[in-house]
Amino acid sequence: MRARALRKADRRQEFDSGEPATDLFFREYAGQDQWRHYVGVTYCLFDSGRPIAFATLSAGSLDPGELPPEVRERLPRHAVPVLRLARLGVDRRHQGRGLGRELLYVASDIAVKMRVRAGCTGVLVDAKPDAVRFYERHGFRRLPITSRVAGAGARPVRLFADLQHLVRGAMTASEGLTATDSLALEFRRRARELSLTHEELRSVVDKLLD
Amino acid sequence: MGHKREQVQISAFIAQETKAALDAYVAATGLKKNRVIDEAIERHLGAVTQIPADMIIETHLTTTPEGWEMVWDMITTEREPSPELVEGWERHFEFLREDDCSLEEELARDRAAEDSPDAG
Repeated sequence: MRARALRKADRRQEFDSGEPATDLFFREYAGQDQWRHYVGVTYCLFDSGRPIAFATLSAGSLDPGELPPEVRERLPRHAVPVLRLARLGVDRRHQGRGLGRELLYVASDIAVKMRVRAGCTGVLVDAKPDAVRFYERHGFRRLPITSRVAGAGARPVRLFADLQHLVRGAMTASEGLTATDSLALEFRRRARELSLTHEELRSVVDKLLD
Repeated sequence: MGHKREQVQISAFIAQETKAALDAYVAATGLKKNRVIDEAIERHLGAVTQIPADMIIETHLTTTPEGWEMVWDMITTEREPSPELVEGWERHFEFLREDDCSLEEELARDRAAEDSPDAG
């Protein structure tokens, strides 16, 4: 199962996470954010062609605001780029399958690419209060943030994990992969990024083997 | 006839540009400065509390000073990955490996999804 970015044709209206605000966001706002405002891209996992889990990602930045003099002398004051995991939802008919966790790692994977290509210091998550422990177990820490949005709805808890830490986890995990596994996964990923057809891919492999 | 509300005095440092804009506005309209400020704050707070927070993605966030210390501590200090973090990546690699349909099948599937009557 592979996550891919939301498309206009994807059927979102039947998505039911059991959380009305999450469903409303996915059905009504995720598309606008992606195709009209360009503030986020929603990645989905599918079952029989229908989205069953989603995560909305957005490039963002963190800055320190006003710092007291003793902190200002010790720490940099420039804003740092982060990848925001802003929304996440799993259809309740598919909950308990680890899909939310997989989307967290899809986000982390994208953050690694973002660091190499445009700069990124870590992943910043907006979590529902009952999901905080989950993120903490995966290396995230609660981050005190000031917010300008004070409207209706539950306030998310913000958690941050630095990319160095996430990459270290990935390196440890990849120790169990054979060299062939790693090469195949990387080759497949690159081929998809380049939108190569099966024939094109075969032709590349044939040329490599010649 | 409007209801006259009880008033209190507040003071705040504001940007010179904002002060200049306020002065120009009251000079042009003849409105009292305190009335403009009172209405502006009331309308601003009314607007921001009506935005459904769940629907807004804030891309630019500001930490507290303690939060900023925490961020730099995390960025500059190595931590051992938790077993859950390592397992999460292992499962992710499994997910990628399980995705074993050919690129051709995948493209055909994607084209079929795009032809869906629910497009839009």
